[in-house]
Amino acid sequence: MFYLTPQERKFIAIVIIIFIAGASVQLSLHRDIAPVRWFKSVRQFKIKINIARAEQFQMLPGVGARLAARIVDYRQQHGPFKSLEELQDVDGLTTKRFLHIKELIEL
Amino acid sequence: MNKTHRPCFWLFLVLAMGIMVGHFFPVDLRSWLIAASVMMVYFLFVPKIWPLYAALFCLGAALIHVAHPLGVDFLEGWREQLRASLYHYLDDHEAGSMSAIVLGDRGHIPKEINMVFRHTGTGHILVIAGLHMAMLTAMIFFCLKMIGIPRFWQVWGSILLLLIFAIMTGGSIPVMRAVFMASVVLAAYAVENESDPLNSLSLAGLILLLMDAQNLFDTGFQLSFAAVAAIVTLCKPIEESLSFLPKWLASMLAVSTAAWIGITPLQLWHFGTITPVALVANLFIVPLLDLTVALGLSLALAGLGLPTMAWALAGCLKAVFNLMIIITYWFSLVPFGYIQLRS
Repeated sequence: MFYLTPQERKFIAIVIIIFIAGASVQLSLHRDIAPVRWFKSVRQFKIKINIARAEQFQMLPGVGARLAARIVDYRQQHGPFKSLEELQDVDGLTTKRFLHIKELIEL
Repeated sequence: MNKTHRPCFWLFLVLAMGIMVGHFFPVDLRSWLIAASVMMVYFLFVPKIWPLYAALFCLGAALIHVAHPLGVDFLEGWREQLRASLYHYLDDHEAGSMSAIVLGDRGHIPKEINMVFRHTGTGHILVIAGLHMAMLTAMIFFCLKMIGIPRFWQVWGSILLLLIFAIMTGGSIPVMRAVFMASVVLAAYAVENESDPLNSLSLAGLILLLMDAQNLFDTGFQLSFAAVAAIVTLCKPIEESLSFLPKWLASMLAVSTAAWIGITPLQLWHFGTITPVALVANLFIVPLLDLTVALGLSLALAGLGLPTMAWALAGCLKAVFNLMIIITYWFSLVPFGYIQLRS
């Protein structure tokens, strides 16, 4: 009565697997469980300005090798940054550039 | 030099050289175009293939010049609906990136995601290019096959849908290059002939250069063609030299290494950077990209009329996409993975 070709059977199996897997993810995302908490924390991708290496600063748009080295030098000389705005004291990091990278950094 | 017949390759070389000379010296470009056209006679010596290439060439040129502006306006509404469907089922961060990966809309990629992909030399993930189009071709072909239409119509239906998709996504150079290459491969399959990848690539290059000679100096054009040309020519020798590894691993490493060799000189020239980490990062990220593209396209379409399925697809996509960006982020932390040689 319901004859299905192997290809159609495979297709239906894939759809069922996707549905079960997808529904499981969607339902678990609304629960406060450890993997979900870890997942939400890890995907922030912000550069921690008090521990980042020079090459990590280079990930920021408009920050080249020289400016990254100056940021690290400043941190070594003056100690950890107390606020994000303090970054503007680094020679070469203008207010315009700071505003451009502000949302990509954290203390 | 092997004996493979590559008319488009030689035509492409002549045309590219003509454009280069015309760019740096005050030589009339038209004379070079005429010289290149003379080589079209070469086609006449391959009677079985040349009508096919000529047809694709005319179709491509006509679509770019005539249908492209009208098509973009007409398809903009569809694109908007597909984008709305992505934003409805995903959060803003995910939808912004998926909109770039699936619909070519790069305006809403979150800054931090752009940052980690750029830093790991995997920025190509966020631009619709060959990998994305290969997945789309496979999906379209599979669906048409499922419907059970004859092979001839499967092929031409796939080519038509690919071209519609390319125009809908803005017809950028990497997309058009991938579409023309896929079209040649599919058309060759329709007439039961094998296509030469270098020749197909050159045909795509020819069409894009005749469309606008200045494309030759476009960074996207150079990166896209250099990567594919390197994969086509270097992949096999590299794979043979890695024969001590399992075949699947050797093959993946060969593709990643060949593409890296192809784009690194250009990357150095244009951006002053080298990304050694891309060699390994691509091994992990590319397979996830295939899944991401398939799920993203399915979600965008299912969102138009199958809400329950779209909700489930969004769950799978969230898992795969976020895994991909977390892995990319980890690679971005590898010391000396990204080396900037000049600002």
